[in-house]
Amino acid sequence: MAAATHAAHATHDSLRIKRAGLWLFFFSETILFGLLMSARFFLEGIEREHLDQALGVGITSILVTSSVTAYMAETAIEHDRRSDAMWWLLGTIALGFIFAFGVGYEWATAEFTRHEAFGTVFFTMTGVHAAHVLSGVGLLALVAIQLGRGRFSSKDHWPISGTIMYWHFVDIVWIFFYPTLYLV
Amino acid sequence: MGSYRIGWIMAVWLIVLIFVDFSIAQWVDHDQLRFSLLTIGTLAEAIPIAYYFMHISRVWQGEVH
Amino acid sequence: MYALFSIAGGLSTGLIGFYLGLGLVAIVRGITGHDAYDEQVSITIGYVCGLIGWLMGIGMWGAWGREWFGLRTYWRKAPGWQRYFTFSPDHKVIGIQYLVTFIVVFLLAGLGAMLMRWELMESGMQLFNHDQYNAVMSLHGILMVAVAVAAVIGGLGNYFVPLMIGAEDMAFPRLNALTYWLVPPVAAMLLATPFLGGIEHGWTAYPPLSVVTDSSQILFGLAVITFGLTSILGGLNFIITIIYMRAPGMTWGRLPIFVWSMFVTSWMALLYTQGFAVALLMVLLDRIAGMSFFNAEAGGDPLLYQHVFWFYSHPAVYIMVLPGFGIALEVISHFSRKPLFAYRYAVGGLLGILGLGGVVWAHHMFTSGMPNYLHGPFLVATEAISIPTGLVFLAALGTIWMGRLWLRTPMLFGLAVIFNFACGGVTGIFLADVPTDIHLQDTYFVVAHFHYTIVGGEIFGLFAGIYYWFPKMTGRMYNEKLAQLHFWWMFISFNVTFFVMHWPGIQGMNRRIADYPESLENVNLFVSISAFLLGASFLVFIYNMIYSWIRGPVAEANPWAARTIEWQVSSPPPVENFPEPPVVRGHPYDYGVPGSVHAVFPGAATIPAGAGGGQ
Ligand SMILES: [Cu+2]
Repeated sequence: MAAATHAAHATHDSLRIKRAGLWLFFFSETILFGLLMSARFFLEGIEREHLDQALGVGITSILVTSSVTAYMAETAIEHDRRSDAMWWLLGTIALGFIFAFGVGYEWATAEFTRHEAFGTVFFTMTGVHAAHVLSGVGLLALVAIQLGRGRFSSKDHWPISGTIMYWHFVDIVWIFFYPTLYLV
Repeated sequence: MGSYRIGWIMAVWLIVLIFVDFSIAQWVDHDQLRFSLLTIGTLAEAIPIAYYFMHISRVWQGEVH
Repeated sequence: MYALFSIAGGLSTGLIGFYLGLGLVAIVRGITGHDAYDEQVSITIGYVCGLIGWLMGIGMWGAWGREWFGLRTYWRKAPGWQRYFTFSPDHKVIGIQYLVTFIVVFLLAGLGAMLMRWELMESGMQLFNHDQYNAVMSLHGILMVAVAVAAVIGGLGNYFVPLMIGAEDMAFPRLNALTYWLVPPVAAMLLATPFLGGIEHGWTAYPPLSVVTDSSQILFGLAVITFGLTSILGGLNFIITIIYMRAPGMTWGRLPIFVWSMFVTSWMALLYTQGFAVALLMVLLDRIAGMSFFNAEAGGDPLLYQHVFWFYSHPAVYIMVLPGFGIALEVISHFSRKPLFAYRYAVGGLLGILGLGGVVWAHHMFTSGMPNYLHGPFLVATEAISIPTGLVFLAALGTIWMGRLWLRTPMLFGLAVIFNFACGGVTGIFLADVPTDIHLQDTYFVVAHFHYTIVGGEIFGLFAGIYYWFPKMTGRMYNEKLAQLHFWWMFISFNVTFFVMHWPGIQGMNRRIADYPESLENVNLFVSISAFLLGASFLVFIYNMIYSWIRGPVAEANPWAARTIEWQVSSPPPVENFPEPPVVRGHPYDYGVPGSVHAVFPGAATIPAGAGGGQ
């Protein structure tokens, strides 16, 4: 009896532990991105270089929309609607790719080079962020494949939730990076 | 409030704020004011995402099912 | 041979990954019309791919990677000592892996110090040319920093934090194994630097030198970034373990002080380590991508590096020394047979250091050309840190006061931590004050100061912990006579070496330079001889450890009659740690308090001896 309740506690706890661990990881990553942001202000103050404003607001909207679709995917799996969740996940992946292409296009058409100070911080910040976006796309693809194979349900969907939390985190980082690079 | 509805409301809220931020950047000329307004706008996007999308309160409240 | 199979598997997948990386670079560069091989780019990409290959090959693929693809995971289970060469999730195995690895690294880095002191016996150049001296000096520095950051945390922390809080294991056992297996590539990369010309820029890697120096800097940067990952993920694991895995009844007010110190240290590692990694990432990008973080001509600023770097590297000294404090307080309480004095204040002191530690970094930059108005605030903040540190000392001294001191080796080392760190703290005042610092900056005074704090505070604590927990980890007892010989030999030669070293510093002898004026020859010869004696003391330690581990007398479960939970299980503890889960009833240090109990095992037929520990 005592052992049984202990085991029940253990599974409940283990989800809680994973969630808290992931948050700590985000916290730690926040410092990483925060340092890059401070480097931008340290080197350039709040000067802003000429950037393609329409492209900036466009890719930001796309990434934020992908966060909404990711949330919808998680909500769907929490209600055991597997095929809905699958479509939302695929939509998120597609939006992630569009965002990455947008950044690539910005890189290709930028009016400054990486050898000058603003270019240095711009390419580093967008580059580190894009690496996170691409790894997020990879993780989403992995959970989508497993979802397609019939894993996950409302009782067991931590890998989906964790990945989507990561996706939201990457989105929040961009929400800070976008004004830092384009608007300030 | 249904979970899906939260998603739609958030979608509208975030898109509106992106364009508010964008407009602030175009039309506010005073450096410090622009910086402060953008900071507020950014936080107004990030905090609801952390709360509604990332379920930060489950860290201390436990899982809800 | 299972161990051989495991390591060879990791090495071969690592090499395959490395060459795949080189190939990838060659293809991409070939398509874009460059030379197929560029030393810096190829090494960087090759290293990243090789690192992933190594981790997967050593066992992460089976234990973890397969899960990402929805496959069943498995563990390679190796018998006896061979499990130390596998990707093992057991925190006790990982603790020993860390401890042994870092003692080997410690001895190698110590050998570097001996070579430097050999060169410094006379003025002029004898053993090395200037480049070789720089390489040895830098390697000594960064290896010792690695030891100081990871030996206590990774070794003793991993082994004893779960035991002391009554947990079965760490919160994330696979992550724990990952952090350890990131270490061998780091060590290999750092030890390979002399073959690419040697690091010239010390462990601090200031630009512009680090941007223009030869490509061994790439190895250094990649190794340090990897090591930062170890530190951050390890810290994360400790925090979650301590928050969520405590035994029933183990409230925050009953947490052993060593666990508290690990908790605070882990927060520091989690919050600040990115600074070093980001700083070196910027150097890396300046080098391989031609960026201009530190190129003043193109709008960059070398001062940016110092801010980002010291943002980590000042808190790093607390990452190093706080676990040493924790061990010292732990053994001082157990060996004074008294409750730990002012426990709450000591915890408050540790938390105060956590709070203040992040806002003092620029005291390393008083002569670097940062704006003058920053000098005052950083001076005051730095001095203010002595207040929480004083609380920790208050706890130590109050515990010793009127105690029945049991002067076994762990206690001697514990007391030495308090003595040495007090000396290091006093000399720190001269370095925190701007006027004196401007004179003493970059001299041997600084070298003497930080050896007093880090070696005196942490490495002595490490030895206190190793002797204290040796019977628990190995199930055998070390030789007390040799251990005391080691203590007195090390303590006296350490103090003589570094106390005298302040003098050439005050005379203006610059650190990190292989040559010095002839007038300082006598004092340097004296320091060198004393340093050789200090180096020789570790031979006693090594002999004692190896002999006792193999041949030493079998130890009891609780040879020190200590009350904390790790001593209430057999030595060494069973794989699952606690055959019956413990329940905590009282404070861990209530020695001599009638009727007090720390932990009991309700499921066990009989309560093990020592659970009361009333004496
Ligand atoms: Cu400092």
